Amino acid sequence: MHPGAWLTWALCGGTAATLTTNPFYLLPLGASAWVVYAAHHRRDHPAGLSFRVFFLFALAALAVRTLLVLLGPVDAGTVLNSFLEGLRLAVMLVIFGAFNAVADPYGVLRLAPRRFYEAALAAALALSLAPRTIAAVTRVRDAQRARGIEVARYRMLPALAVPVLENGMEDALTLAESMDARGHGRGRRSRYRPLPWTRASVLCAVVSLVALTAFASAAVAGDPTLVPSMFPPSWPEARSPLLAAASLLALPALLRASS
Amino acid sequence: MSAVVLDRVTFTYPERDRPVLSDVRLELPEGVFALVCGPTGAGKSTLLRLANGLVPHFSGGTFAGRVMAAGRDTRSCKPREMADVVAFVPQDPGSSFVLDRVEDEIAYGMENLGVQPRHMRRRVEEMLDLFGLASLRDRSVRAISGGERQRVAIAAALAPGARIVVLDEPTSQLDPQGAEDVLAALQRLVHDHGMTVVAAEHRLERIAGFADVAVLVEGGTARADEPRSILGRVDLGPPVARLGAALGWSPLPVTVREARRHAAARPPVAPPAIDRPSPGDVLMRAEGASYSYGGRVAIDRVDLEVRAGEAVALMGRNGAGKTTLLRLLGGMTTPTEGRVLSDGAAPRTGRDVALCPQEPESVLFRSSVREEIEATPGAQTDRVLDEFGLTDLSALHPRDLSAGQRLLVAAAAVAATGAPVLLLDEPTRGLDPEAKERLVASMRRRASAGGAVVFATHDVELVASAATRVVMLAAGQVVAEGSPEEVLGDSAVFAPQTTRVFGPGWLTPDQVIASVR
Amino acid sequence: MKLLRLHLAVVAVAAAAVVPVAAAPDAACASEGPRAVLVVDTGADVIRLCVSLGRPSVSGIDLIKLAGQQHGLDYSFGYGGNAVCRLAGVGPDGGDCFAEHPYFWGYWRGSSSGGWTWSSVGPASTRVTDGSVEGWSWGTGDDGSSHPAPPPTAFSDVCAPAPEPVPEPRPEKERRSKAPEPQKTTTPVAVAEAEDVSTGEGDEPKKRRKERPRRPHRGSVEATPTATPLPEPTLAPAAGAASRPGGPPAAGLAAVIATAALGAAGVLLLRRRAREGL
Repeated sequence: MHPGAWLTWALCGGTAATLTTNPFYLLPLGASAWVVYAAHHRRDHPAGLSFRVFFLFALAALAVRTLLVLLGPVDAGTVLNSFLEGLRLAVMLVIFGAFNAVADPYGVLRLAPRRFYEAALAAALALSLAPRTIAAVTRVRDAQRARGIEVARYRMLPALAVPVLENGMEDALTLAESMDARGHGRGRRSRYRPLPWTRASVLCAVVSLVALTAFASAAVAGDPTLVPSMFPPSWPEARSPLLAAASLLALPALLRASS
Repeated sequence: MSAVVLDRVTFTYPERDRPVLSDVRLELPEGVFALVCGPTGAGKSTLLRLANGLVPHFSGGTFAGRVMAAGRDTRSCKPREMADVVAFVPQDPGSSFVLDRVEDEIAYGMENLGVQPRHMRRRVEEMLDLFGLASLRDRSVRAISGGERQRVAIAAALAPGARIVVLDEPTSQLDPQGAEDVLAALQRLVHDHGMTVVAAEHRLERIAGFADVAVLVEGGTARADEPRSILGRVDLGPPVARLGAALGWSPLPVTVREARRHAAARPPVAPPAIDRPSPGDVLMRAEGASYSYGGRVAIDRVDLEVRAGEAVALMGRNGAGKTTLLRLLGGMTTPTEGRVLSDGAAPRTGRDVALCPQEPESVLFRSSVREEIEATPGAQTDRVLDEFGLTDLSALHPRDLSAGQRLLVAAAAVAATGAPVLLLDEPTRGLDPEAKERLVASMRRRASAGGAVVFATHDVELVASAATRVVMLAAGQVVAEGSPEEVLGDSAVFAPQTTRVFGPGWLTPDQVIASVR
Repeated sequence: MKLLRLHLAVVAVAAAAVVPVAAAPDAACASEGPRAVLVVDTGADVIRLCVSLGRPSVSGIDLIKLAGQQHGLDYSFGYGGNAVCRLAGVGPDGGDCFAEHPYFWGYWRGSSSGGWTWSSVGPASTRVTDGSVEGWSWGTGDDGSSHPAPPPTAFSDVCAPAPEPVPEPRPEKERRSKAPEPQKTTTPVAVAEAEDVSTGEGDEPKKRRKERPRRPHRGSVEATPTATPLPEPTLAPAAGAASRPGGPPAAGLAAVIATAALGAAGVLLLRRRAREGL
């Protein structure tokens, strides 16, 4: 699959999520992201495993957003509103996590126009930080266990944190050196083997754009079901075209990545 | 025309009192294969990094003198501006990768230099062929073995076609055949295309035969000379050079081929039987242990016993399953089939068995060597420091040690658990002969005290001098097992140099020297 | 102290990766030789190339040959190698360069302002030096007033202050004979047996050291880029939403069913991939 197709998918899904707080739209959106992750995440790659972390982040975002409002004097409507906003944030995180697990961030980087290359590279390196750190934590925890230090105990946290951070720093230095030594930033670039837009990639992008168009036109038309009122609390309405649009984002799961 | 010239170079790292290199004058002509050798921590890496300006542009510190590479002055040219003339392969290829797919990583340097796409395509294919990477082209650089990573890093550095290639320990993670292939590929670039190769390496037995020039870095200075005159030093040379020096061969041999000419004239007596204490009780055993993940069988029905007093070497090519087997023995993972037992139960990690990983950095977290050893539960610190020859370094911060010294500290910290079985994964990466000697001595002490050591290694000379038994793995299965002289003796790839010179039964120079006297 | 290095590393990563301005290579980088710009306007395409001359001056013909070596420009010369027949696949193939007359390759010489002047002499007898701009356009018209000129191009539009990369490795001999040899002027006399007295040349490194402190740029770690926070959700006005008390509407039920179905499909897919080791 062309990385641009995944980028389109993620941007469309993410934008659609920002347009609504209706749980009946958000849940299928999140579920679509989950199916795409399940079908396409890279199994041989640490980034493929970081979805779990994004999922946990999403749950945390939801909980924090909801619990924060409970600190003040509130009514049910306010709590529900915060919950739904938390849900929106959580779904966006899940979509982003799925994108991170299915697409090669460096592949996306290669799409960047020449003048944005530097910024895109910084973004790609930042994106790869999470999977790299997860891999480092696993490695160090194993290594310490093998010499009899169980890092699970609070007192032993430095045994985990210090090597992970120091190695991370050391790696950053090596990487910066390696990039420079290989001519990074000489201001002139050519592109190796641009990936073709396969039929599956085009389909993935088109489907995503259709889904976004549905949400965007509903937003422009002022569709009241996108942002349902919780004053007074009630079950929100949902309209089937938008439900279909949200589920449409699961379609790339059926496409063969290689074709 | 000179490829690399160091002119009165003095360099001090930031916040250090003494320069690591002082007043170094060196000239490497174009079209040579230069071997940089010297003790651990002498400044070999610094010397290499001077060539493209990583020192001082990235290191900071105080720099005096001048370094010219392909006519460019590193004072005014940053590393990136040297990229089209000097290719650099760092010691740890894993963290030097920028992109993700093998193929893209190889093309990265060329993209930066603006090479035309169709030339890039051709060049990438050439590199994939030259380093046997064609089958890995679509894999992630983070999901391939250490040896494969090393080859990708070299291919990626060479792809843009710089005329000077600088490599820091290019074969440290390669099996003997892989190392031979990589060095031969580099030599071909020198012979056929007039490129200049500058490589630092500790395993001289691998590289000595390829080098045209040797550069000795020691005591803050560096000098270039004919390999023979530098490798002839007992404390530095490959086993054949030690043999030659002890037996009075002249000119001194640096390769097996040269040594055989001398040996043919004077055949030694029959090899003496090697006296090894008979192994004691079984400390741990694997019974039909298998391990598979993601549909791939990494370890396939392995039976193995580890007895008290043994030093067992696990050998086999890159990706044969050595590390996985160590993890199974160490109780880090449980076998998917069969079992691993220590004293009738699953091994308790850190109690029955301890494992020193391939990257010592994963273990080290305290601010001095002594504290690092103390951090291991139940450590007898002084004894362990002494055992690994670290007493002099005990006040230093582990991060300020050389890679080889750090490895010793990590091994010591792991050995400090007092677990009867000690597992070491590639324990001699980056170790100079002296540090290696210390490691071997401590392994022997541990074995004679009733413990056992199991180590995975590509270092055949280490196996020859330290192992009591060799287990050869291929595709996750045990394909040969026995004493080093049995297993290594008739191997075309794994035979140590002494065996190659004198025939089966002979393992180490010491054995030959003792039998002559 | 090690930590200092690490901090520097972080800054270095940030600087190398984030600031495109800082990425422009040092113009002082020594062995950069003279360069010139070659513009080829085929009518359909405009190709602009920055060409390293390797010598202080070359002829207009040589410039095209160099562009062929460095950038893979396709060309063919006629009339004894003194006239240009074909460039970038356009024009007759050798021999008679006017075989497709009235179409032919017009030769233009750039001015410093980016404009063009019709060349009154052939490319074999012009001098191209550092900073020159040379243009070729395919078209009709026998002089500068009727032949189409290439689009205005200044030297700095094409040759950035960046040093010109070596585009691809070349066979040894060719490279030796063509490449600039800056060593002749810059290599120190130096090395092992040099019984050098303290000449001006010998003092230079020390002087330079004082002038240019060798510490890399230090910055604070705070300069490291941080991820942009996700957009804070804003409360939309809850205007005119029809609310209905009681149980969830039918559409809501459909949403829940769709979610459950997709969730289950994901679990099945994960299981299948794990089993097949894909």
